[in-house]
Amino acid sequence: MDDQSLEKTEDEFGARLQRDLRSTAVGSYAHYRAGAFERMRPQRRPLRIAGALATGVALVLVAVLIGSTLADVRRNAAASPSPTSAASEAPIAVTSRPPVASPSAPGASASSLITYENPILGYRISLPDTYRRLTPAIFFAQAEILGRDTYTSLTQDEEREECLRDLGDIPSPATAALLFVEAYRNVAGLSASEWANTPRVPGGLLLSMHRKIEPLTIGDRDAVKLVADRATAETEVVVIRADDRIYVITPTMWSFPPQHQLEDIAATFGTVARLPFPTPTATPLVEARRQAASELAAALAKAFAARDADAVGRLMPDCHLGVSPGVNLPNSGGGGLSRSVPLFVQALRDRFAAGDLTVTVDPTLQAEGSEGSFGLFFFVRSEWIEPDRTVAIDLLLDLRDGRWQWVSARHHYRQADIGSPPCIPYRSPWVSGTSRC
Amino acid sequence: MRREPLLTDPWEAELERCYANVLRGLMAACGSRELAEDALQDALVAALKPGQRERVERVDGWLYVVGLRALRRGQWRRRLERSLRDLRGSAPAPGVDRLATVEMLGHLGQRQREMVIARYWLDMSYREIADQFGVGVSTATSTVTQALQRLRRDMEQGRGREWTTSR
Repeated sequence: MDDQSLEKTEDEFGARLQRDLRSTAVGSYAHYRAGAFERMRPQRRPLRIAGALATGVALVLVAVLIGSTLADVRRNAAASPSPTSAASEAPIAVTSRPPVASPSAPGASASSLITYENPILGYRISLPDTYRRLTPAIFFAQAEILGRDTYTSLTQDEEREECLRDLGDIPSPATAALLFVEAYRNVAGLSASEWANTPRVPGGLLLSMHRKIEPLTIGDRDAVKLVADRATAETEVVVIRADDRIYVITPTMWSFPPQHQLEDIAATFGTVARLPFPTPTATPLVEARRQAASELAAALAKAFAARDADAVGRLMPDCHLGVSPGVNLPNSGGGGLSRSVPLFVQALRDRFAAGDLTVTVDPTLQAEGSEGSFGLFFFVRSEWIEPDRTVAIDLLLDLRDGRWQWVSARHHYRQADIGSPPCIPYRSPWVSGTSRC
Repeated sequence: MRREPLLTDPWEAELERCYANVLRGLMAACGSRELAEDALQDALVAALKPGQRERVERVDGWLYVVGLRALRRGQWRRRLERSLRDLRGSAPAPGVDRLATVEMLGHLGQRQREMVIARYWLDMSYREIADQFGVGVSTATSTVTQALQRLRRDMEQGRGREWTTSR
């Protein structure tokens, strides 16, 4: 091949590469940067389900955080004051008694702030009335963290809209709207500054990494703010020492640019008389869980056999369903979805009406993981039969917000189905419209 | 939504200036938006570490190569093991896999593909490619040349007939 030919290739290919890639949209720098900072943060949130579940399960947990959890606040608001959960070595998050909301707040007009109290975690805080309280969590069997209250500035209308779209690469507004208040045992009696400079687990990243620690005045309490170590210097975390506990006020890192007036919120912090930290209730017997999951499996099989999309929908989460391809992509994986349940149900209804999809569910309950902990999870096998292909899909079942639900789907594509360049051949109802491949 | 200025820090301004092209280059290298975004964020983690800026001469080339390493490491598996807040919804790559040039790049060897993108997308010189990839200039030159020969053959055989833009 002569030089002229190579030059021609250079010119042609270079120009086309430039044209093609320029036309490819990318997200904002702030988005990726926020993601990078998120990865620098220590791991402090315990996973409820141990082990490496399928991508879809993990995504559904996110959906629980930002979707169905939001929707279930109404249910939880009326929940029993006694936390109920299983005793386990594994981290456990359960719904605790919701903080008490009162219309008054120190230093602000009653119409603009609402004060929330959580006597189990022992604090109160006042937030603008644009915030709402979400499901609180208590953590048993943890050395330090006691619990976490989550607040959101997302309206219920926005919340409903959130459920009507699939979650993609860009963090959703629901995620950015979250604000956490966490309570920890101050087991080493550290100052707020020392605590921020100490990893929660040996070798873990420091909360202060890439942040400057600056003193903060919150009444007469020992407190610090952690300020981004860059020119904008926004306050990203507030750490407060109160009695024998440490309180951490922080938004998710998806909250970028900052959406919460963190220092103003922290200034309203106070302690309240504590209730005794609850004792976890006995572990639900595995057999009882298996029985409940079996009933769900049978209901799913019946609903699919009847081609009743609405009945299927009633067995699913309110907002999102996790979906994973069950196959590793080149460079190790990916391809998970967090599918809007309303969109899924509508698409399933359409496919059933069109008559080109049949779903058979084997109601025999399958289990993976270790019994005696939350590492055990249940699923049933199904086949999705179309004129030109049949896809095996595991339907993962879990207890969420007091109800057994079909929470995630694990497709079993083969490597050959993915092709090169890789494209996961999801079709409706898993995606809207036609296949992306 | 209020947006804070990011450009007051020269290093971050440089990262912001070049990140989009680096991301597109990574997409072209792996054929997946999601994996490329994952790799870019890992590269940014490295870039935002204190002291990094003093050691980098060409920011986009450096970020690109760090991102390529992240791609190779198989970041996805680790992501499954991270805490909930790290886990994000993801969607199939919108359009990247349909770019004709990306498809043609898929016929090249990995190293060829990476260097071709560095040369013709990021406009890096052979010297810069050699520095960033840790190879000699002659190796960089011959790798790209072989890749061009392969691309030419593909184009002549019609594999690249349907030049398209993203959907």
